Amino acid sequence: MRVAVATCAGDDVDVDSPLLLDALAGVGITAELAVWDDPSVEWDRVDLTLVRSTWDYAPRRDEFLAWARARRRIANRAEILEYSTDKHYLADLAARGHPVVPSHFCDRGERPDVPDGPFVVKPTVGAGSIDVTRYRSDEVTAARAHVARLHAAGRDALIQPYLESVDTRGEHALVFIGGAFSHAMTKGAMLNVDGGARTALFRRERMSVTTPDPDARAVAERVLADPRFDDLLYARVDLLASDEGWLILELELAEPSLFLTHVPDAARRLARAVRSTLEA
Amino acid sequence: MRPVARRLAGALGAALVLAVAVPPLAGAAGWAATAVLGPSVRCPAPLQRSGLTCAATPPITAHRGAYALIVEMRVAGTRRACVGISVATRTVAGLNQACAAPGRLARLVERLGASDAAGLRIAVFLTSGSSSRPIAPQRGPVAQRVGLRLLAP
Repeated sequence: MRVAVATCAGDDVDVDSPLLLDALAGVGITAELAVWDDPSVEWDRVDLTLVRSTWDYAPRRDEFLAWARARRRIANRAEILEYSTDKHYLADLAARGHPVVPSHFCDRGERPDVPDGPFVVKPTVGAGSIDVTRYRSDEVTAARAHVARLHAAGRDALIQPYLESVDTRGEHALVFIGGAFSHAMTKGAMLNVDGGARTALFRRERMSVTTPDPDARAVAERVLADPRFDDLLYARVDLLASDEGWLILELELAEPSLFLTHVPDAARRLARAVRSTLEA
Repeated sequence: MRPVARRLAGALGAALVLAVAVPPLAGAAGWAATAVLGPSVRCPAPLQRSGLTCAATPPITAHRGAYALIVEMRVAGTRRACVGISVATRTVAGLNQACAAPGRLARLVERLGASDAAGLRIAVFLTSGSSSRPIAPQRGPVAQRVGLRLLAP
């Protein structure tokens, strides 16, 4: 069995990849990192393309999705990648009754409507915290300029209130592998980390393994119980605490960090799930 | 994808010293003392039938205060060899690799902050040494001996 673990070129390294490749080898799978847009990769020679760290897709989402659709077998499925790489899915989740962080979508041609208090502007298509900025309530002019820049670049914008709980309780990231809960992390506020704290080879985040609040886990499990998500190989649900309970910040089904270096057993769980998928 | 073995053709006889060093105390010179992480290991490990990692530490608390992780590799064989390291603490995670020609010393230095003291995990694996492709563990054609030491306060 051969698996291509899809990643990106450049210095934005996936620190989970050695553990994952090691675990895949441990279950008898020949796996190799492959850069998703590398024309020399012979994708047809593998039994499965496992999307993991394709973090540079955002400016070329259409190209990325076309690449995914062209794969004979890919996980997660191309339809899932399409859904999860545009944060408009938050509106879909809200419409289905799931609790999400209040989200105002400001698509191209629309004027931004900012909430009271601090808020965050981000592109609807983006990976990591790139082009994401937190603003104070007196920085509306700067925020509007940010939205205008995104629009000028052909990107839609998402405006959300900045929930102060992220500073005190952090952000919960619940990782699911093969449809089952695997582990949870508490993430510090990335938006409070200056750019200089990040280097090419090191991902610096205030991060720790945690036991998730049962209510947070219930919210995540309800989202993933949707039949559309029956065959997910991996998923990450990011949640924030609020006065109204746990709110979904992101549903990461495309290229989430799974924090395998913090929980090495999770790499083995993912490897076993990959093998089960290949044997199905 | 090119065959892994072809890209690993040079991995022979490397010795690796993995060290964590802390700044000297006021008035003192040089780096602090050392602790041995483990005896020298083979890469791939003896009897290793699966997996690609040669050696991995459990979580350790390396020091108090800022420090530097120093990796040294000396190749004893006749061909260039490359070894990758994965470093993860509770706050940072990263990959790097070092390659050395026969008889030469390769050194990597990663500076880490005081908040990176606890939960340090280090893993060592063979790499192709490619600077244009992502750092990734590779299966080596021939076992090589790797020394693994931790320098700690």
